[in-house]
Amino acid sequence: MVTKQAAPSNRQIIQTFLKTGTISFGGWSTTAVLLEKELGSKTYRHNPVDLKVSITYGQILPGATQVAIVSNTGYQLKGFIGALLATVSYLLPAVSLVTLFAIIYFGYLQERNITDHMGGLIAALSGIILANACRIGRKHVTHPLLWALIAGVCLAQVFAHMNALLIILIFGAAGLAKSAAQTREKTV
Amino acid sequence: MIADIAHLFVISLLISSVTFGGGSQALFYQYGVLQTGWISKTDLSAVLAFGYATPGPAAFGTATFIGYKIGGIGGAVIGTIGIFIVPFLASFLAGKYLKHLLSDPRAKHFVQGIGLAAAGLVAAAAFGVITIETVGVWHIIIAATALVGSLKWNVNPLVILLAGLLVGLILL
Repeated sequence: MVTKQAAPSNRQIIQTFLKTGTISFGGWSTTAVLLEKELGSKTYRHNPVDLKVSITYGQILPGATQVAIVSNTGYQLKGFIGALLATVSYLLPAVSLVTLFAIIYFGYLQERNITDHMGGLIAALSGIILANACRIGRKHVTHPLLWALIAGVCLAQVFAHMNALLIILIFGAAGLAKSAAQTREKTV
Repeated sequence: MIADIAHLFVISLLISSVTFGGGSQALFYQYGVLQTGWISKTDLSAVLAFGYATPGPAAFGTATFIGYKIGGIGGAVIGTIGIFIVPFLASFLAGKYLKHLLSDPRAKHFVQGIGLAAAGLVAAAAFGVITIETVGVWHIIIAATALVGSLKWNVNPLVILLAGLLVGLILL
């Protein structure tokens, strides 16, 4: 956390994160790039924020990566109040938009079955989601055989409808077991 | 309605707590569509497409969307708090008390394990959102083009979705 004298005002934090949340299309990396630019601006020249620390927390903590990055950046700027203001300001545009979409969708669009005409959009959406799966895989695969494991999870979910939560917990436990085994090897 | 909102809050907390860098789509599909029936597969596709085309966390807005369906604006607020409070508190608390987490090998391995599961689950969600009765050749071509465009050239999701919509309206 930066010193009290150098801490930015609440208004500055709100403006910065509201702006970032409004233009942050395309995942956490865009958010990180935008924040880097904002934190390098005149407003924050006296506030040394280590964005790498925020990004690392974003990777290892649960929930939306962007939120963890933004929350930790806000914390570095002004403690708890900074984290709270940064998170709320960052999420406000997205949450407002999705609420507006829900109002329109459940009020007008759903009854008209507009999704019947959205075959192309849904196909494109599945392509984007599949691309995301590949990105997540690339980040965590350390051996080519692990891709087969990923494919196995996918097939188990699609065809056997295995419980997603159970799969996640099993893989997390396997990761911890691997870590313990490596520690034992080093000790021996 | 209040019981449903409370249930959504708990499910949102749960989804948020076990999602490390991806996989929330699959969990929303499991809990929001299959187990509770709060929204249909088509509704999920619609909100995910909207999420990818707008700023902010793409899939997590589903909690807000479901919250609105169940309990109006109040439900949307509760769903939103449920899904975002975990990373907010975790990040704040980790920054204050758990700095050693950054260099803990157990955290790295735990996240790697979950990351592998998440990749498979997100891929499964890609098939799960297909709500079209008959998947034809053009659907596969559009999906494959979107996949390559996003992965190889990092094309903006909004552009991909609009192009998919347009091509679909013309050809399908």
